[in-house]
Amino acid sequence: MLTRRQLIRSGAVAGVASAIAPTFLWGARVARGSSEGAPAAAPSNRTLVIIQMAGGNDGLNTVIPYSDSNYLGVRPNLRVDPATVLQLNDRLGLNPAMAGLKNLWDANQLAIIEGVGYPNPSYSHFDSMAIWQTAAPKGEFSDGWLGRYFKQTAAEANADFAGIDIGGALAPMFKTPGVTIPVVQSPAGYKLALDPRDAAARLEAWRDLQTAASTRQRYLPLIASAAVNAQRSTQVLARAVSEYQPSVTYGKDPLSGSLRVLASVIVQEAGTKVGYAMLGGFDTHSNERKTQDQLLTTLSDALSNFQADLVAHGKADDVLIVTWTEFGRRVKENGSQGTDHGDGGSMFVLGNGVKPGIYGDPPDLMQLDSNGSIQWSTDFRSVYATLLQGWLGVDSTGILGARFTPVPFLAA
Amino acid sequence: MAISPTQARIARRAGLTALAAAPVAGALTAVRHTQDGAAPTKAPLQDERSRIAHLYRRAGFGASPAELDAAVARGYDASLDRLLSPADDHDAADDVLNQTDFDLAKLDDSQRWWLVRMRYTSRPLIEKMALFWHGHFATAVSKVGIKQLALMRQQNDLFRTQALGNFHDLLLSVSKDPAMLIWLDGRLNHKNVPNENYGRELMELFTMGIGNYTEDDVKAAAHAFTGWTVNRDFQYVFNPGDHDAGSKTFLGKTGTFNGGDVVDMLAAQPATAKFLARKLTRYFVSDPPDSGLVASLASVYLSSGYDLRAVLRALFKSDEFMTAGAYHSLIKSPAELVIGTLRTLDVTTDGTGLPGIMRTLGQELFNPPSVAGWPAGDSWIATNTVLARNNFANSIAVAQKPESGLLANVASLLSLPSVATASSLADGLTTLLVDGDLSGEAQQALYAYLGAGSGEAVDLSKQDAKVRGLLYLTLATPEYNLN
Repeated sequence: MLTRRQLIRSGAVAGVASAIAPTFLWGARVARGSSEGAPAAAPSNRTLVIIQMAGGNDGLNTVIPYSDSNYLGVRPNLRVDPATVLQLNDRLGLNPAMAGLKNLWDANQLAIIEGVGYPNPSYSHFDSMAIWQTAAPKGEFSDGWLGRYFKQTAAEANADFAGIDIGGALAPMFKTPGVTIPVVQSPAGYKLALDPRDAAARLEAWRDLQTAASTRQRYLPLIASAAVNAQRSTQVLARAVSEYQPSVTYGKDPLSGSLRVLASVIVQEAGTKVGYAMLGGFDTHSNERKTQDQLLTTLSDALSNFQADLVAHGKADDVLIVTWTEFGRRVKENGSQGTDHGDGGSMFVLGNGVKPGIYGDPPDLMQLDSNGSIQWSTDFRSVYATLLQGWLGVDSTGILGARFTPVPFLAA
Repeated sequence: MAISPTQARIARRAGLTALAAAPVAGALTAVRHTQDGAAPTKAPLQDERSRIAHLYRRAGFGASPAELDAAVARGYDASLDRLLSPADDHDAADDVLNQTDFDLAKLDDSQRWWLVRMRYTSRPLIEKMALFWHGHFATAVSKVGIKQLALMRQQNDLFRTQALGNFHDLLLSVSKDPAMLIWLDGRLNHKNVPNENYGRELMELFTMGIGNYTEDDVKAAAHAFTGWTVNRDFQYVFNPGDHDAGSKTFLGKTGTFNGGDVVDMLAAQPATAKFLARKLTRYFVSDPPDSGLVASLASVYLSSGYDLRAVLRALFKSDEFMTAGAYHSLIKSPAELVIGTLRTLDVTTDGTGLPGIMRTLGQELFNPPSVAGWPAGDSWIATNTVLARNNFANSIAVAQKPESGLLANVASLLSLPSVATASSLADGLTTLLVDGDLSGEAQQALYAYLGAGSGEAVDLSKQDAKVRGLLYLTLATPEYNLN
């Protein structure tokens, strides 16, 4: 039998009524765990928001070396007209779809890291995603890097939404034995439905059945703890979402919807340390301009709205947003108005906490790797190390398995 | 100790997809002990009924008491024969489908069509394999497009017709399938400017698996499949003018290979045999799969000339399939959960509401999240999906208006009198739904819910809410999620 301690943290066992207890105070308790062993003390109310651009975004048409004559040569059909880019400096400009991010650049809230990758790159989506999610190009780890963060800090023991994954399934970056991070697809559906004729008795029996699950079979503790965590977290989420008033009008696309939910738990102070959302469709083997321009518009609008919402609620100092994608794409276009899998993609970092600028080595379009891609220059784990140490205030060596030199994209 | 990047990748991918929350508690012993110290219950899979129920859960979507009675009368081997080679002249599901209205141009109704088919099929292994192939050659309407939904159904028919046939032939058919040609850009793969999408996924996901080919092989495969395209009516055509007829080197052999040659070579690879055997073992037997069983199934695949029926016969007759380690060892996929519940409880349905429920559970038919299909295993379990599983249980148990299609009549299902003891009611449900595989403490919790000592009488006709509550709670046990 699973003990109640294994499944349910203290203070949340008793009954239906107490589940609505002051969960928002839990945000303050997070400080205890995370301050132990950390380098310079970081504020305990910081949140990291991770946005996955799934499919392998073409960095070259996102952050464009518009003044490099080689760019036009390699992309005769696929080029973004240099006259239309949103100039960041003499060399680089953003795809014109990204007006929102350009505004953030102008407001000193945007940093860009070019040429991100890792040794022995994989051109398989699933493999490369797994590498980014485990932070283990050589298979050093099989669990998620943020799962290891939560295990190290026990942050998710103190708040139901210390981690929150907005989507349909748990992102592998959060997966590690013993850690349950809630996945929320839609707040409206995030409830445990009980026949009102008999709800209290059923809930009590239901709880007993979860704790009574045998440990004989290895999946049972996972299912039971997900169930118990889920039921308890439904109340927290319902409160956060119903009491939250956005100060912007979010778009109707799913990413905007996800960010709105993230905004609600952040602004309502549910103790969120890490939030996650995803935008897919970046695997542009064909018809890239149309597909990517649309996706970048969605991304840019959603993120800039989100940032504006956080600013209006006084949360902008506490939130950092970072985007990642499993690889970049080949420099030369293919025959279907698209690009094949490549390397050396870009990452965006947004928020008041950035030191704005361009990081990483400027890609040389004439010195490509054997796959025909940009040579990567920044190991993504250096970015992770920066986020863990510099933003979340925890030691990253155990989580990443080695020391990585931080990339200086954070303000002091 | 250094391992090759490739070995690391395979290990990592296996590790990420097979994380469990806790180490396996205890070795495989002949007797099940409940953790709370109650008297040991009988070992699993020792009686014919339990073995056949296990077979139907795995090779199909479970069985109602009446179906199980018939199967037990037949015996295990005859039941397996029937699953592998249905003797009827048509699927009983067709009778139901023909009497139900569907607007198959809509995704929701196409999904509903297939769910009703699974519910009423008299050929459950065929439907289970059609679902397996749909997850294996995963193709999604999100890119194929709603306007071409008919192509998704055409692909579905292909998986049904060739479910247990010859893998080589299936692979060749899939390479010419119009939905697949759209999905993986086959139709954009041109003579002088090849598109590698299909060539890569064909090897990485459909046949040998990563680590068995190089990037040059991907390029060679792409060249070989140039010209394999669709015409304006989205029918497969071979366009010789767009085909690269030159020499290619593929998997160490050189020749003027066409796509058909690539299919021939891939079907014959020992790596393909092993990859498929492993995947089938994880789908039907246990995860992680037993390496001995995988090896022997791979061997059957090759020696039978890629005969899927032969492979599955060997699988369901293997010793490994009947061990305590295989019993209740997999997490039910959403399809298994939903259809299994409907079949086991003999629920009448026209499928209304089921597509939406499948979406909340994380498995949208005709729309897998990627070409890798659904990750399965513990990936089915997260806070949102476990809530959805419990809410599905609630929807089964809550009294519904008759038109909604989800009704349950517990007492008659269990063949109980209208006044029965609390324990006979609770035990009847746990036997029916979880094969009695609950801890003593859980059983006590169910009796306690009824508010009666285990031997006390419960008048089922006067206790509608309680009886439905008991059904809900049994369906809401963590154990019910195990297959």
